[in-house]
Amino acid sequence: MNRRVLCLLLAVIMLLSFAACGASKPADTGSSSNSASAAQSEETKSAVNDNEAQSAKFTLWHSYVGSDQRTEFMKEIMTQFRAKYTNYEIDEQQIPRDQYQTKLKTQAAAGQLPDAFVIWPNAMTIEFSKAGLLADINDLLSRETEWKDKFIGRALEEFTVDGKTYSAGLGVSVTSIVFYNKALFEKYNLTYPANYAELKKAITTFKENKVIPIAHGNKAKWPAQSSIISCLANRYTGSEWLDNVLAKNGAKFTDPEFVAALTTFKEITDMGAFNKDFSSIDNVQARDYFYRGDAAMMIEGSWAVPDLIEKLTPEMKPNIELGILPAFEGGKGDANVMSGVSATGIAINAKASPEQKTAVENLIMFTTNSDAQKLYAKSNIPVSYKDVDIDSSTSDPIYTKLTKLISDHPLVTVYDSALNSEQADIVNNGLQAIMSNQKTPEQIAEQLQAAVK
Amino acid sequence: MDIIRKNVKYIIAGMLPALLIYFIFVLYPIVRSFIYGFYDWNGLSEPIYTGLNNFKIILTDEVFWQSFKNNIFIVLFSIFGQVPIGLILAVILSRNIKGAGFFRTAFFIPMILSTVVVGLLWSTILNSQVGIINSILEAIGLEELTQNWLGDPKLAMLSICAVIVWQCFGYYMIIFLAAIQNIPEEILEAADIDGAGELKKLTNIILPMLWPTVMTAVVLCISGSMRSFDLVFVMTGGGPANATELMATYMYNKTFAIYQYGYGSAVSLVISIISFGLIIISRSLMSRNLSD
Repeated sequence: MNRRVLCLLLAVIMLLSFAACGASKPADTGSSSNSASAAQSEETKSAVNDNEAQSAKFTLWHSYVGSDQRTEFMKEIMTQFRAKYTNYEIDEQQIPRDQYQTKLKTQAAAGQLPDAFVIWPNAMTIEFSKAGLLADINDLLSRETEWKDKFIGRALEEFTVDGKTYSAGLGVSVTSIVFYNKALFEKYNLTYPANYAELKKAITTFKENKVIPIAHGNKAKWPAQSSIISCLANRYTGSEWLDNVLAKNGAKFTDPEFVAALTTFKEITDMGAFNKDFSSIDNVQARDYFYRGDAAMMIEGSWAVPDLIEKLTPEMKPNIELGILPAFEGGKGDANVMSGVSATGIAINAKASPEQKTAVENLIMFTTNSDAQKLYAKSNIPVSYKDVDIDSSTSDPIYTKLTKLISDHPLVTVYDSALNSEQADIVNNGLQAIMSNQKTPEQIAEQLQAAVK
Repeated sequence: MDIIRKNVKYIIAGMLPALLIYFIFVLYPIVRSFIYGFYDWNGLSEPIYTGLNNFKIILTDEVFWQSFKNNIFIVLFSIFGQVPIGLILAVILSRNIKGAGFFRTAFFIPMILSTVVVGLLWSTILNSQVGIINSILEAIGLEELTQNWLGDPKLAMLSICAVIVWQCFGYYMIIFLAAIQNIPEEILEAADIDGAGELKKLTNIILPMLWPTVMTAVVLCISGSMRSFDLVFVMTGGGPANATELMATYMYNKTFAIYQYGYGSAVSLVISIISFGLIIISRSLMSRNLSD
């Protein structure tokens, strides 16, 4: 009997504690957030504050954290933003780049997107807007024309779907910059290659002298596509071809130009242009070969510049030059272009309330206005305004070279930005297959064409 | 039994919270995810019901079958790698040889390392440009033997399997050691009196008495290999060109890298069925053995 009572008692306690756990949590957070907002509104009342923005509370997800080039920028700009708009309560979630898209899309699948979040231009913006998940910023753009007109074209265009713009890019990402070590080129009496023949000569010479011609790390599968093929294929096909392929407008991935580009890529790989372990290290690890002077070139994006500036030794730094891929004979594309896209931008959830929408619009402007652009430059990130007054005496010489490179060479689209995730996956894996002699360029072209729907 | 029947109400009341959590967070999501296997869904737009279409695609999906083959390869490699090595070492170390304790610990250490650590460690060792294996081969003049261990599609799977064996054989060694210690001393003494040599004792006494443990080890091997994911994920990410893709990594990539939630769910359903089948086979294998 005693035992039965004890047993009952235990069960009751367990149930109670369980229920208590469940109930107390929301009550707790409720009261704490109430008190927090009460404290905040008092603060707002007492503070001398000249902005009349309505108070709003919103969640913001971004990937500018950890080793991301925008981490410092974001920290600073958010502090400024919070100081300016004291009546906004912002729940800021920083998610590392590698998990960001997965987490965001999983959240989207569950119908629980945050009020504001960072999105990628082109394919991802199209995907999200077609699913009705984004609120456009057309009103804001027509209201703030002065702000709007300062942008370079692609910073807004690449976030525009069917006439509606959803975000503005926080800078620009150039994906195919050839960083090269001038000292090594001079040592072996080479000039920076202007055409394919010279590139081949440089590769052979470096190889003979036990220098890695091009440092490359493709374990993550996207670097070969983003940094090499996007630009290399454009040299062969020209810029409109890719749009025509994707729109099924008379062009196909199986066209000889594209196959020729893949074949050239295979030739370069087969010549031994890359470090032997290119498929088992990632692009960040590959940079070490270049930093140490073991490699003569490295094909990377502008995201590598802050890392480069930080890690290069003072003796190495003056030797580093920035260039573009050489011209390829018979190519239909302009040999002066390089590949690049608008950087990511902040977008607004379609479900956001009017107050939240205004608040996030303020944030979008705040993170892209001319002060923010100067801050990009300070963090060595390419700007997305046409004219930014950059003080070249204080900025790093490599960043100055980057700015010059961007002003000299127009940008053309990057493959994984234009392709949907399935097609991008095929190119990424396909390039690995070509590099490891698993598949021929023709097979990859056919596989890609089959995914155009 | 009587106590259980008398207290059934309290038992239910006590188990209810745990059951509830289990249903909501384990069973429901699993069932739900199987249901998505019948839909075409990218996670953003509305799911479209496509019946068995996803499964039809899986049947002809060469990457999936490649990853299935890789899984089976790991299973076989583990059974014929880890189990024999573990067994041999256990037999040797069960003797009173010098330093047995040290070796037991040393062989077991890989097992307690996190797989991510093991993966990164071996990625560096096997690296074809700066890795220690290739450097040693070059230093002793065997340059023609240097390989692109993880970058060559033909070798990558083999390299991964070698690492798996390195990581896990210590575990089986400990299992076998425990089993050997359970063999009654008298039997071995009787064999000594009858004049049996060491080899005779091994083949006629130790091995037969270990057989049930060996079968358990095999089952553990199968189940462990079917759900391998982490080592491949860390070391190659399924590359180069899907050469080391496993069913689990393939499912992960399809679902969370290119957002084909429907197809990914279908793949996971197929994986469950295959694993279930293998478990049934191995269980029947075991029970037949036990009834012997």
